[in-house]
Amino acid sequence: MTEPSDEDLVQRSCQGDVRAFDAIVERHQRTVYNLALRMVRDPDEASDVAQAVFLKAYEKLKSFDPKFKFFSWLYRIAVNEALNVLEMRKRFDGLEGIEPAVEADEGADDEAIGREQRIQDSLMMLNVDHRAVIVLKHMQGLSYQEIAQILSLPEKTVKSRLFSARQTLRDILMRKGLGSHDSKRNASAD
Amino acid sequence: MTPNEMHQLINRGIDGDLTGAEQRKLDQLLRRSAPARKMHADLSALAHSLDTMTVADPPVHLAQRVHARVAAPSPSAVKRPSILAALRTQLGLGQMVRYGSVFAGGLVLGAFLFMILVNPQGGTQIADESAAGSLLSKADTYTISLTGASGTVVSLPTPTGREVTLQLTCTSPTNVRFAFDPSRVKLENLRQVPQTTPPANVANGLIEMTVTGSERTNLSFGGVQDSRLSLEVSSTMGGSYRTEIPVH
Repeated sequence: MTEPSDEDLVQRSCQGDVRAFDAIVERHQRTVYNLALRMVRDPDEASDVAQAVFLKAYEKLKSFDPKFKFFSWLYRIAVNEALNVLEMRKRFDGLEGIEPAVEADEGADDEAIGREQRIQDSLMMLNVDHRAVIVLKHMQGLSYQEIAQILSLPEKTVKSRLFSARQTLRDILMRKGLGSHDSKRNASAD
Repeated sequence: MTPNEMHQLINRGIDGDLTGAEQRKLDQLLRRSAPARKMHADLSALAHSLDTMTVADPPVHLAQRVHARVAAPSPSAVKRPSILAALRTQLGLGQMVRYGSVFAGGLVLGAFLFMILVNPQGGTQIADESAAGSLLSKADTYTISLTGASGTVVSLPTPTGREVTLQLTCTSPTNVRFAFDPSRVKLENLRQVPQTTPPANVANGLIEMTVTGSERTNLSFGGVQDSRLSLEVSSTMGGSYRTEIPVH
């Protein structure tokens, strides 16, 4: 039996079928939560963002235009909610933009985890516009076109931001002594 | 090839966005340029690391919490069958309809009088919620959602100037109009950051400006003469409403 499409579930939700909306949440909670987590980093805040995203989506479900992809619409809400949280954090706590401390080197078994944490640390040092395109492209696996639709930007701007964001991230990681093994290997070959 | 062209070609290559001819051009570049190889290797490794970052499990309570909020019946949906049954028993259906009509008429008249006499400006309520989107209040923070735009309006307490900063973030280029009462608001210290193109047009209680998509625009002004700033926001993307922001 084929799974109902997002559009079917949206239609049933609009008709008051709460279980259909539960299915939407079940289907998208992982991606929405991870998008929020990569944007705001704190798991509790990411959970709050994800919850707010679904509640806002439910509230505005009738305004969803089926000619667009549902997940694009949902991700747009998610990005905006995450930006709101970051804005509030910056305003009230002054935490945004502060460079997180680089943790001490861990054992060989923890190398991958340590590296991932440092990449996430570095990601948090990007401005939010750059962070958003990195998260959508690499962690959500979206195309330029889909990102452009979610962020309401021309595709050209998405590319330019993405390339610039990668370069900045690369520079940050280099400063932290976290150049890739591959690149080191290639560099030494030259 | 300029460094910028090289950067673009390498990045597009990493994303698999090149035509056959462009891919050959990249291959050729990588063969003859050590800096290009270094950049390509670094960025490829970075892209791979990002692509393969751990996907976290959402907390188990997330779906439950959303369900609890979505499934909760609104107060208007709560039925009171026992009272209705009692009334039906006492009065009979015909009398219920008669009394009900009188009661409903009274409610409509009362609401009309309230709008005319008590709350002519709409107070702090959103006058046209359906067209406007929503206003979310959290302490001193006001979030305005317009169709095609979203933003945050914050009233900042300042000891002397009672300066107000409006912060609006639009997801696409949007013409925004702020309307205010010039007898209560003096634009003594209008600051628009960044300057939009064209710059804000300020006249007769209106600030009209174009907010570029994805750029945040702060609009600060002082001289608010009353404890409340009456504000009307409209967007060419659709929707408008008026509200009042308390200035502390």
